[in-house]
Amino acid sequence: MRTITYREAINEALAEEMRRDPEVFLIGEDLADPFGGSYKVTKGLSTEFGCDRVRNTPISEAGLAGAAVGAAMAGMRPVAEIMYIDFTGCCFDAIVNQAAKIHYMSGGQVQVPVVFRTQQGSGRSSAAQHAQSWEAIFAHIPGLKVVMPATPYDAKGMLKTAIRDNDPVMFIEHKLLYGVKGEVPEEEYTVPFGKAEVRKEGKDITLIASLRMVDFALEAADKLKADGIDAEVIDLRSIVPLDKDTIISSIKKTGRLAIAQEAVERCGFASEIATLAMELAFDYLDAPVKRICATNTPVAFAPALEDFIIPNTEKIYSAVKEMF
Amino acid sequence: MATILNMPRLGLTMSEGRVVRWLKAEGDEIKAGEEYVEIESDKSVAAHEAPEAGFLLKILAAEGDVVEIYKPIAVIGQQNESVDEVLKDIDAPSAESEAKEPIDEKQQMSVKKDQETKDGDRIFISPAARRIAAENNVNIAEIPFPQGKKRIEKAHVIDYLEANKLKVTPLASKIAEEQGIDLKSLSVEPGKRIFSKDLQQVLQTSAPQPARIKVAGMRKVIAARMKESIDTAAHVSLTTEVDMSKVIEMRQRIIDPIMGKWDVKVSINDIVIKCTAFALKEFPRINSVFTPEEIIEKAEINIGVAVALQEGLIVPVIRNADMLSVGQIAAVSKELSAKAKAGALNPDEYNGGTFTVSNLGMYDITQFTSIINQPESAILSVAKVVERPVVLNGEITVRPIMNLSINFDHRPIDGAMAAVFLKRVKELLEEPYELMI
Repeated sequence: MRTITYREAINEALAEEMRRDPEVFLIGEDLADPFGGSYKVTKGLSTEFGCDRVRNTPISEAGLAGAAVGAAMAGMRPVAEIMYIDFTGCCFDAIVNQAAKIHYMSGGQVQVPVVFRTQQGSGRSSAAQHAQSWEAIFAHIPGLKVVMPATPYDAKGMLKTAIRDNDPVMFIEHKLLYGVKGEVPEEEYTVPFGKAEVRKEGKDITLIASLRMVDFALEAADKLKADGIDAEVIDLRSIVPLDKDTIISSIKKTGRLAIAQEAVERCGFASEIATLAMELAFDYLDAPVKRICATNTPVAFAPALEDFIIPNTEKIYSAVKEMF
Repeated sequence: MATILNMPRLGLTMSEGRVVRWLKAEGDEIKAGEEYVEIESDKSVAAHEAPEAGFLLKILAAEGDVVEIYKPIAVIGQQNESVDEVLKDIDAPSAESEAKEPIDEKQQMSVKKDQETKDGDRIFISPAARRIAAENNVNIAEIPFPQGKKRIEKAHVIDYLEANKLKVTPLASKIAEEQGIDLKSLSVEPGKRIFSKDLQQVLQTSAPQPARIKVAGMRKVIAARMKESIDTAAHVSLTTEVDMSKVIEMRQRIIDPIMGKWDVKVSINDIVIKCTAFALKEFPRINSVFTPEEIIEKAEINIGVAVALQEGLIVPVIRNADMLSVGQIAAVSKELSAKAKAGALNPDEYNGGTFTVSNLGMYDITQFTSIINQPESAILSVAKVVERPVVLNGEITVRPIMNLSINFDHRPIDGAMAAVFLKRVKELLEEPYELMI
């Protein structure tokens, strides 16, 4: 099978959906060629589809998000790009109070099939306002679907599912995954929401991760093998809806749970999974659940401090080892 | 205040010491620093000096005894002081007295570690391990705490189960199942296989347990009445043989008419009851109640018929049996018997008897005696009719013979009278047509 980058996979998904459905259009800052988006995800699309369907906006997240939500209510399928998840603060009302609520408040009469593509994460010295991980903030809002693809294959397949979904979807990418290559078939496929993926089977501990943490977890699992610990690594892929079955059956098998999370520890999604484990698999746990998260601090600019703050392979490895 | 003297630690490697010789006897005075005992350690024998002055109140370790370091060997104190208080402390050492003993760093660490495995009665065990233990009826207190671990985990419970798993030969397993032996109750060395001979030993030593039935209800009444009868009446029994040829012949003749009229198959016992009632009319004393003041000869002839139940027995009463035809007796008897077995008798159906007839013929009993049913004065025991060779007019011939016994209370009834009554019943049974006269 051919290998392409995460960036190319997303680009393909957008192009294919725009070809398939004339209602699909892109809206965001600097999307059009020759710039092609600040992470070059939309490169070539304005050339193929024209600037009506790949719309550059002024630097106003509030404006572009509001326009996207309005267009969705009017029957279009906008894919809005918010350059950094940190900037969703500017368009929080459009996402949280409008997009997430209108389907409910209209008694089901109005749907909001908008996708907010955005990226998060650290590791590039992007500092406190460009390196946050906010999935839990959106997972907390009923009415939003929240997905986090970790591979090119999932990025393409899940973006297609997101565009075809009639509800607002927070499609969260990771800035350090854009260059990562992976196998992606040329033929048409989609990846459903609410299905976690077991990236590596194991019997001694369930190690849960998303986005960039998946690779770290797999590397940690590899190191743990030398210590006789056989870790099972689960990539959540979609946190709303959440695949509880896969998580819980894995915990029942291994008796231990650790969650690696790039977001800060406090009130993160890891806490949600830990609670589910206690509620649904208490009698199967052999050790307290462990969260491996960022410290409860802003992300530092200094690389050494950023390393200290953010989980990595070594931190996951040693945290898991302590559980045995 | 009496103080305990402990086995001293005479060297770094010493863990226990042997009491070689007591230099002082109980009651002796000891000065502070005075040698009072000789102790042998792993390295040497040395006299030990008393840490304080006092009297040697009690020696706790005899010469030759090996005692762990810091464990009591003697009690010292004031003259004639009681040692009870301190001895109590030895049995249940307080935290304070333990704390007084020097503990090296290593020991301290291990103590700390032990404390971490438990919080009061709560044993640290993972939820999964707790579940597995519960599913396998394992008392978690018996699971050894895994070294270097924070809590007992599922794998430790499984290891424990595996280590304690009983190894049983197929034959032993089969015997245990058949005999209801709990294999876990056998004292077999862990890991050793259980053979059938191990079970044989158990079977020999553990006899089957008897069934225990609480004495209550009817059984209580029966027990009291039987014992009362034996205690009050002066029991005598007489037995005679009856030729039942004519009764059998008569029964053949009347069986169908009675069936037609009363819808009951008349039995030999019904005819015996009829004859007995007839005879009782002639012998009112047999039909009496004895009291210390008077003998009450009953006006009515109410014959009780003993009926065996699943558990116990009851004696329903055929009232005025002397006035009833054989067919009527058969009908009443059948009805009462059925009601008795169903537990549906009314009190007036089993009270007021004046004489009892008991029949064990159906159980092939050829002769027996009974206990008088108080306050009656006599009871008739009717046995099975058996064909037997008898001598009649110098010839041996076969006749259906039935043994008839009477148990009577000698207080109101004399032996001769009972004998004549029994003979009269015999005559009536041998010539039943006399009933017609």
